[in-house]
Amino acid sequence: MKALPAVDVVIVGGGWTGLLMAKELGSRTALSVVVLERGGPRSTGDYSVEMDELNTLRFRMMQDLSEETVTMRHSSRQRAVPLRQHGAFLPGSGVGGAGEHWGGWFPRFLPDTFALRSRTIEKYGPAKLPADHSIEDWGITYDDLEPHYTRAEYLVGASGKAGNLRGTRIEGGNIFEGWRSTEYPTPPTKIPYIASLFRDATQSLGYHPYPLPSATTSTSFTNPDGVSRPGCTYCGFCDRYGCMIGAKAQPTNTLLPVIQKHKNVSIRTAAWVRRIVHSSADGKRRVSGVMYVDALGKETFQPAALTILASWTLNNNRLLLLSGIGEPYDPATGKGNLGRNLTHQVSMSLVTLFFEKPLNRFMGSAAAGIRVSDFDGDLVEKTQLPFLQGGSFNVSNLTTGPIANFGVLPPSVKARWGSDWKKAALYHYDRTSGIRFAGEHLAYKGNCMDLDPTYKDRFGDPLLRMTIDWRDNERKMVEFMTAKAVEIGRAMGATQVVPFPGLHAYDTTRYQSSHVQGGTIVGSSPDRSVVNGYLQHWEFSNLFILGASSFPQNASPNPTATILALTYRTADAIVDRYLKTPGPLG
Amino acid sequence: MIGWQLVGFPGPRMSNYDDIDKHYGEAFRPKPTSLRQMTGVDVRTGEDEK
Repeated sequence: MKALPAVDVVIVGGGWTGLLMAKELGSRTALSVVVLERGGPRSTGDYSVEMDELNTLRFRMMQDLSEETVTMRHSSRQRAVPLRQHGAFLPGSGVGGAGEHWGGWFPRFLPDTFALRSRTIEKYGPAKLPADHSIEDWGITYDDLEPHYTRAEYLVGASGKAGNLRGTRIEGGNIFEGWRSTEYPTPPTKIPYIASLFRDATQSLGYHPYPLPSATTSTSFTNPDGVSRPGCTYCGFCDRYGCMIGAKAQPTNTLLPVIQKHKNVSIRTAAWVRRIVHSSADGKRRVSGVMYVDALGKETFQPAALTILASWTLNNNRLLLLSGIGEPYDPATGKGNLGRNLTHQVSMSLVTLFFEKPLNRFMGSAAAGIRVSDFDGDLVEKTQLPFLQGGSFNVSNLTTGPIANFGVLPPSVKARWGSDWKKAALYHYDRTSGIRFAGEHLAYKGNCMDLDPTYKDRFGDPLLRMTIDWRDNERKMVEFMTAKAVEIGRAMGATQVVPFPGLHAYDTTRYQSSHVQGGTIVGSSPDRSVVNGYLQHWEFSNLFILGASSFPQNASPNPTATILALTYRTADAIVDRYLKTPGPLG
Repeated sequence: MIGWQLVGFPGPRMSNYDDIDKHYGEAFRPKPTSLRQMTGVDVRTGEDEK
């Protein structure tokens, strides 16, 4: 194996978190920093010729499942099978990762999120928690994160309207949000017709609609790093595409321009990290670097004083499991923490709505829309309801391409083929929409990750095995929220409303979101978590683990704002404290 | 492209900025508009160029 000269910092993964950390360390220190990304290079210019729905249907921006996938089962009694096609989630590949093809939704978490376990017990008593839950508090608070949320919003030029400015509630924004120190850096985006119907309907029902917080700028914006991006043109090629003009914040248009100015930071593409190399000597556990396979297939050792794991949730877990770092979680005994608390997001279109008037769905961006959070978190009293927590309703023109969305018909159309079907399909294509729900997925003892005993990747390493299923809490929540969505859909003027059929077993074929969390969870004690509040590994102080793998459980809002806020907080801890006195920060 | 237009999808348009909030409740069926048409600047056309 080839050994390279040592660097100060090696970062595994060139997505949002890896490149944000590289930017911070490159800008604020003289450390030598190497980012290892297994995909290829990307830039905004690539996207001007990729406005083609076939590119998304062929998953050209996603991880190549023929090289590495995961296996999945619903419970430990089953044998897992590999996912050979993308479905429930869409992991990215290449510089920028999933941050290139994301939708740009950028909400903050509610303050209560960070103390879910203790707050629920305090309010409802322990009996209200599901029998097999493994819900944990984060060990950090919303107040800890607030300044970093603000930094993240200014980094991406987030658009939106404040609903709680330093404690003052502001109508028109999300009045349920935690306090924020500043207004959004850019005003709300324009909204398409369907979102205006949703806004008016929810207002008439007494709810509190507000502009969806978005990492797509509504106007030209120059961020504190001096990176300028234009406002959105609502071209409609947004989620599952790279933004051709750079209005949607992506690592390549927001972080790369800064990183490229710093000679102490380099990005190596086609570098597939297979192991984190570590040792124990004199009672001290140390990571000494990473082993990766380069573009020519050569095994390479990159020594580093500090290792930062910044790949996607499932890949963070798999690398640690393959490397033998931390005790793997055993759901039968409850021992070990690595791989526990796997959660997804309860995400679907709760209703399909059919209208008389055309909607012009081709115009918009994924996050140019309206959101209602009246049912999020614990905002609705749950004493008399059969579930905990909740979620938000959202309407925007999301993934409306004509290939994937043609032929969705209401129950009143009886024809299944022929000219009557064609006529109906043509009529309804631009008269069909839905109300999306983003709901909370609690953590359970049986939902976890480990290494599959059977299936391997292209190098012969075991695949990650997901054991995951919904519980009654999610099913009853969806049932409750579907009834609300039906009511809203009718108020929007839909002539026919088709409700979601209900949440049954976890379905890998239905896209839900790419918001998968857990496995390296954050906490205030090494007994119940993998990393401390600064995302530093409890046992290996020179290893930090970024991203949503640190979330103890899913919170209903989309996670990227929180992921970036946590990364900023970790960067501060490394620069201000760790580099001065290397060692445990927790 | 013709097939797309038949179902009410105009194909790629560089910008809908002036139209997204103007045509509420009425069909708006513009023609496809390329980056080149909008900006007058040649852009790389990918594999077709080879």
